[in-house]
Amino acid sequence: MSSEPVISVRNLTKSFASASHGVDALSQALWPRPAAKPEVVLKGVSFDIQRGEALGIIGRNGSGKSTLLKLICGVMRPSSGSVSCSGRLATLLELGAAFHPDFTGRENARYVASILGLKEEEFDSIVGSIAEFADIGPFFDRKVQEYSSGMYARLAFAVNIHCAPDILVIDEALSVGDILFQVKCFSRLHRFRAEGGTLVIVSHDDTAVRALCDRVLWLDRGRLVALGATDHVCGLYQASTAVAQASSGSEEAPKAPLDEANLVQGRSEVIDNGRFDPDSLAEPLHEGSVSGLRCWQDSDNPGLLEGGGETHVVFRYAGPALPGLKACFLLRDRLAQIVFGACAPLRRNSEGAHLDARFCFDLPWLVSGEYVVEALVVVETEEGAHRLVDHAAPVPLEVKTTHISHGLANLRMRTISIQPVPVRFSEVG
Amino acid sequence: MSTQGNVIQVCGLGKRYARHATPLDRMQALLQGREDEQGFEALVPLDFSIRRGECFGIIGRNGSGKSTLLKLFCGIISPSAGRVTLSGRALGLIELGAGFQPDFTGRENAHINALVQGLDEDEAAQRMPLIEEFADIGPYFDRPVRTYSSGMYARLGFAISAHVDADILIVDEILAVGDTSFQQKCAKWMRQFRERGGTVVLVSHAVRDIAALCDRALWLDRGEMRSLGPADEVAAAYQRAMMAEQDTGDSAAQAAPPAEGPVSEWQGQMKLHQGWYDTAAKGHGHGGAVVIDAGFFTAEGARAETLEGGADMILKIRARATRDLHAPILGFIFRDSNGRNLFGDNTYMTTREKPVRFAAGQVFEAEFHGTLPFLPVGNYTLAPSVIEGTQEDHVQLHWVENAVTLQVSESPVEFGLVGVPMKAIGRGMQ
Repeated sequence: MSSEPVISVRNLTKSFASASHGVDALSQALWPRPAAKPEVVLKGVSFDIQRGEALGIIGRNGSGKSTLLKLICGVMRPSSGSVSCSGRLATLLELGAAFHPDFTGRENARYVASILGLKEEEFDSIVGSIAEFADIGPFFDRKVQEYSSGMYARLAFAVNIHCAPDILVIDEALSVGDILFQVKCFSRLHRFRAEGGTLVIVSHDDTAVRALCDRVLWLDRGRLVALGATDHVCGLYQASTAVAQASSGSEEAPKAPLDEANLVQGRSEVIDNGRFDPDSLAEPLHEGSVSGLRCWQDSDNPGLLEGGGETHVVFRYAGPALPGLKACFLLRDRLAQIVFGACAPLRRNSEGAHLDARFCFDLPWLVSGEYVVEALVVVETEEGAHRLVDHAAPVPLEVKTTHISHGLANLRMRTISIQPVPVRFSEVG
Repeated sequence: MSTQGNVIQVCGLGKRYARHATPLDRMQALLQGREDEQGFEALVPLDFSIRRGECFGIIGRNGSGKSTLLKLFCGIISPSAGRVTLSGRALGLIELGAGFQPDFTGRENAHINALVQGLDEDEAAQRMPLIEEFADIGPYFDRPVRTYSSGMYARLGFAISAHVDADILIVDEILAVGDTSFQQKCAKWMRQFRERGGTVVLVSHAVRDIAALCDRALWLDRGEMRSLGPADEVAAAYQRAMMAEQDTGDSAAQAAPPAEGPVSEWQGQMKLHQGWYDTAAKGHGHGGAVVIDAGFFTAEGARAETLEGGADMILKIRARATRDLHAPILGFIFRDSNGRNLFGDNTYMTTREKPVRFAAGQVFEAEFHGTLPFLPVGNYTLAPSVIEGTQEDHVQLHWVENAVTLQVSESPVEFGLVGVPMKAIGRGMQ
């Protein structure tokens, strides 16, 4: 793996003059006088982002995250220091910010593509994919001013991801749209990363940062507090916010020490243990078809599942009984993470017409929220490799879990107790 | 019918967007007064009303006309048919920061917004400190809003809305921007607003939000009303329809349990190896108690070295009080190597009714009995903690990241964050 930085930030500082009025600013320009102390929003920040890395930027509101992103994207100039980027950089900063309301979706897509440096022919070759991904039907040829916020988000993501960026910068922009679209976006982001793309993402969503990022940078009042492995830095940040909340709004800077231990520069290791990974399958062979996917607990409300309940998944395979045929289903959360799934061999059954695969299991106590279930049929070769035969369109689900917890796949304890420990046993070896 | 209790009255309200090939075409159409043929009906005329003090949800897919309806409520666009009557002062949080003048400071924008919302100069001046306090953006309140981060925009926008005596609050999607503490502040304010008799109109994709927050809901589909009624019923109907739409027609099975199929056990075992409690692991907190041990134990009380997936497990957390504790809660989080929280629990529910007390110097422990889940091969960590208070409002006394490291060396789980054993796998032919 190459380790050349694609983004190099050196001693980056940004301050805003605190002229509050247009009139002030004008008079300041005409009659220079000792200005009020400028507000420093970013103070001497330095770091590198490697090719193929996903870097998360976290911090409280007003800590300088948005300013840092704007400097990286070049929409703002630094007061001192430098940012260098190599490669095509696409941004999802504020949704649809780059769109012109009087142009159609197609026209806006062409405009954004040309800003990103695509030639006219290149755009013509991807516009079909953009329209397909955005999936907003005839609205693609209507003015953006008629769009709902969801359509804005769909168009923005579709355009940016299809312009083959090397670096994608995202500011808190992925919570819009329905569950199917969210999962589609996150799946696409995972693919973007797998293809060597670099991701810079600002988010308040701890779960999303932990799911997407290799490393995390924590900013507070414009200073870099910590940079390191995701788990480590997210842990430090959470600890500091918990402490800050408890001391009820004290203006103390967070106490996380800027020591060597915090400045872990390494990447979190990626374990490749040769397992079957449904996300790395190639395009389907299309020799058979998968359809009729259903997932239910009780027939009254098919879309709603309860944590802990007995759950059924059923789908149908129609096609040749290839050797090594396996039926799999999987459940993804809104971040497109596979929470769990299962596979079973689909054995040849006399004159193999339609084969139904049926699974029955107790649903874990998942975090309440929206999920999708997917079904696929693969063939496993003798070498243990997998080829995708076909997959069914994902089906959305709503899960309700009464158990309160932060876990992605929680357990239900049979008993929980708390008691004093007699003194003679209290010292643990 | 009396309309006494209605704050929003919608009569035959419709919106149609004209479609013209060229601006010249548009001009001709305008001059000749001709109807456009390829116009697009964003909203088919609707009739309904929203009562005072109600939380009214609007649900539908992208492009169903939800945003168009909200814009009509707020008067941002004008209807092509019918009318909407609002009694009371309505405030829309439709697009964050829309309506802010980038070169004006937060204070100036707040002032302008307050006047637009019908407050007089005195009232506006009087509210300003409250707005400033609620927004909580420090010196930025007196800086041009173009220097704001998106979080600050949201804070300012909500702070203004909260202090202009609106009777109706119109919100497009739950405010997803802003850090947790600010989101909680907004949620609390919304609750109080409704208790004072305020009306909320909420648009969301999330069926869960609509069912949980709203009294009644309207379901829009391609600009038409599909259903209007109690929020949970409409949400459920909407969800059923979304499911049905997914169904490709040749459903593999009706809602019947698998007819056949041997119970399938996992094709293999999962072994979890546990390390020692790391006394040097980094901890943090306000003090008052110290976690002194945590991990999985055998039924005989010894620390477990190896555990098996699907087997009974006992997890213990032991702590020592360094001062008198009134309502301590012991808990843990089990994470994978990327730091994702897989599962966790605490003693809050056990002691909620009868909080336990421990004197300074006393050692106490929590036991969690359950079944060890199946996990994929990889490294895991256990983070125990002791807090004091309630689950919602508490102080962290001691929290130890990576107190115990664990490793799964072999596992039948092929993919996913956790493994879920199948009770039955069936195959059939039709």
